[in-house]
Amino acid sequence: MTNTKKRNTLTPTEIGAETKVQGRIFGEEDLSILGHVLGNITILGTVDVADGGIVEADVEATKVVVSGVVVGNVTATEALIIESTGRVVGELSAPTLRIVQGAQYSGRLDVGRMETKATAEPKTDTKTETTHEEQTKSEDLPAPVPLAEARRDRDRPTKRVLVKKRA
Amino acid sequence: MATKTTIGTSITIDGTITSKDDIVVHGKMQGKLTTSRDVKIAKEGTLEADVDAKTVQIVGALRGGIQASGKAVIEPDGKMIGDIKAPRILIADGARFTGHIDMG
Repeated sequence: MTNTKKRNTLTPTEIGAETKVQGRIFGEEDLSILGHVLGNITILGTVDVADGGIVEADVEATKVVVSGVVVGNVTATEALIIESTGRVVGELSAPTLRIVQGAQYSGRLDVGRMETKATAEPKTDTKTETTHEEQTKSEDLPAPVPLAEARRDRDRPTKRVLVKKRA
Repeated sequence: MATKTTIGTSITIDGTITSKDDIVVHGKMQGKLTTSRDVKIAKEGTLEADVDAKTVQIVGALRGGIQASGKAVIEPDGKMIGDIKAPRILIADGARFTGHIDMG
């Protein structure tokens, strides 16, 4: 999960920077938000909250990438990424999670409890290594990971493991 | 700064859009749509909304009122049920329209 796959549909949906939407947005294609959304978002596809975009809504999507601000619960069925400019307040739920250094996040995490456990857990494991705050939040993580697997994942050069968190 | 908002074909918005962008709707929308710029309801677009904009162009379908400060256009394939209030109005040959017109 390195790059964001987006704009793969004929008419990419984009909420412009000067636009505010209040209500429900749902559909089956990627959605980029540069403006302001209040309400509820349910998308079968990628939701990209761009830098400058503000979402005050519960978000449910296949993949969620946050470079802007999200206040609300975020559920991703595939992956959730908070980029360095991203700020999130709310409960996060995703099989794999990446919080880039510089991102700000506050809330509860629910990571890797779906079928894709094997790939999700080592990531959570490496992350807790660098962040004592997040460690306390991962108490509901199930089953230990095989050591060799975790180590292999940890030794892989990666920049996605850091979480900088404001007190 | 002219940014743009696009609602894709599979997207439905239920609520209010307030904007200073150009808006193109390929999908569905219900509620109220307000912008200081232009609105285009594309061929597959379906709106059940009151539209308040500078110019409104309908290629798809609209059920609801239009209040345009500039111009309202219903293109040949466009359908509209509702009232139009605009200083300039164009209803193309082939377009369907039911409602009142006020060119005040």
